[in-house]
Amino acid sequence: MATPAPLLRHPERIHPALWRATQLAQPTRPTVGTGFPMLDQALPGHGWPVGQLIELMLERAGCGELQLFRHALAQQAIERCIALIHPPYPPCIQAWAHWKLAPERLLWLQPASTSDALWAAEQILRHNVCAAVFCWANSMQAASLRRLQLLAQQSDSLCVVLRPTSARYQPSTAALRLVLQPCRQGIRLHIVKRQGAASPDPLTLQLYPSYRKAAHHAALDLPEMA
Amino acid sequence: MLLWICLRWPDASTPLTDRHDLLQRLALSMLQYTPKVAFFRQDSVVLEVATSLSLFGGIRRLVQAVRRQAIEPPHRMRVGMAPSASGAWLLAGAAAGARRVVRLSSLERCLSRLPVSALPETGLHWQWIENIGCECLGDLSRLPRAGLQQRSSPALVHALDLAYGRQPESLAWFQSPDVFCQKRQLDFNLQQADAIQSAAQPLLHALCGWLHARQEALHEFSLILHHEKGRHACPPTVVSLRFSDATWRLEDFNRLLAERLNHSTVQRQVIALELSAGPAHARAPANDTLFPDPARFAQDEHRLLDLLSARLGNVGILRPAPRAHHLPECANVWESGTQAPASSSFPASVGDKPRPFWLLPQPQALSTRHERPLHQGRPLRLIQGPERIETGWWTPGGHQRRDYFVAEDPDGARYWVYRQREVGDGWFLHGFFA
Repeated sequence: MATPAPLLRHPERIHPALWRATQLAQPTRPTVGTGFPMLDQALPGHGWPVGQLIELMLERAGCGELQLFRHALAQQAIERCIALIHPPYPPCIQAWAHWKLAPERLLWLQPASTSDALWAAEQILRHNVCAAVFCWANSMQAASLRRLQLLAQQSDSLCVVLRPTSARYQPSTAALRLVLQPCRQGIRLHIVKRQGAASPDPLTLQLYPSYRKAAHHAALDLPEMA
Repeated sequence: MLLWICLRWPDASTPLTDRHDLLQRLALSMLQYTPKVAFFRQDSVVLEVATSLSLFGGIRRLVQAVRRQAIEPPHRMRVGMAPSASGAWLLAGAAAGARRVVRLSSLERCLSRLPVSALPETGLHWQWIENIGCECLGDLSRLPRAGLQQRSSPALVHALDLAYGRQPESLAWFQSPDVFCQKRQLDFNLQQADAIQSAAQPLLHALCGWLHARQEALHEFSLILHHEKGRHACPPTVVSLRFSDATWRLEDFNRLLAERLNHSTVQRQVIALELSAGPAHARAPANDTLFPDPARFAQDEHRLLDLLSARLGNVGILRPAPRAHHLPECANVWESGTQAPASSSFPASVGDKPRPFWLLPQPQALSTRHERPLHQGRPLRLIQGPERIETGWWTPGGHQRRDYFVAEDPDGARYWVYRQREVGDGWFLHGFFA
């Protein structure tokens, strides 16, 4: 078998937008570290891409989806606000403050319909004043995802769309797609799409310390299966 | 050197009362370009722009901008430009030839070609002028000055001097009114949002000129849409717009107005538009710095929030306003409105205890099996706690004693549950850890 020419061995030297199918892409835009070394290793540029659409698919709200961004949000400019568009439940200010993030940065938008929610996300990206936009949408057309991706590329915000897991098999233009599942003390992540080689195994990230250590006294209700 | 632009009413036959509103509006909007604006000969507005040229990017750009505003269907004002106000007025009324000149020599050449009747002062002496064979203004200006003055009138000679720029013009400058309220009667009926928006443009331009002349900015204005009167008369629709930052820019006005008009349906045909400005305040001086300025960020944010509230309404925008309260659902307060919260007003205790990010507004009762809480039929295992919250013992019926636990379902998802102790023993779900 002929070995490829030396230039082809490193296609990223020809143009940053080129990469071999076995490699991870070299992003042209900056990324923000996730705070989880294992996840950083799996993402192109070793962090959440800024100015790209990130799509999270989860079965139900409350499996640690926002804690994934805790580290990234703490690193961004403190005067820019963080927009939560159409969240499934009221966000808790005290929890946010406990994460050492400034609560006055939060902006909770409660639009009446999905089209209003997408419009709001669009305007926020256009004005480029928010450090991050989180948009919860149950039903979304491929065209509106594409629109958001294009607008995200023109901004320097972290743009995250959260959808149900049923969207997993629908095509999407998002640069990064993850399926999230809860698991013991943490979260399990399947990288459905990234710029680079397909990721074979799900990643398990630990969000909470082991409860045996955390408990002040013996666990109240020791697991039978532990 | 002076340079005048004249906007002249196209035909002299229209009654004066009709012109008055339009000329007033034009004079106001021309204040955007120069403070030296005046009414001229009852059918025109003249403005002196020599000092504004570099600010607006040169003669060509400035004239283009002025011309765009001189069109207000169905009327289209004629635009002339010359180094003298009378000259600009004469050129604006010219049937053919150049209407815009910059130099005195070219003004002289262009004026000389105009017929004598273009200058109204010749009206009394037209017979005499015709008899001596003068056809154009050039012929008239070549006549010996003393003789012309003797045989016609000093007013005619003076008017000629003014037109050729040989004598300075003395005009009473237009003074902007103290209160801005302008009404535009439409010659047609409107119902569509974008049609109303474009019909409101002359009014918005006038508002911008008014604000510019006074160096002021405003927080609110209202556009009143008048409907047809008669048997089915209905009260006018009022569209009021509010800005978090005082503004004076046309694009800010337009963006918000478009959003508001698109999202409110106008039930009836609109026959007139009226714009009235709210209280105006002195403008804050612009701060042009090289490096990004946090204040600019705040301004952009206010602009965004104004736009969002125009479509989502004030209730759709929520900002944190935490309270110092023991009960989590009472401490987690969000206030609607575009006003940014002050972190100094937050209680110091905010964030000293771990809380779930999704907090149910009303705790949800859980069923139990073998003394264990169940969520959607699956048993929850308590892994952290208890944290006791006890409050309200001083009010009758308000006593709450809760033991909060972090619980986990067989999948590993975490829940915040509590056991009610005082009134009604039972398990409740209060939040999810996001």
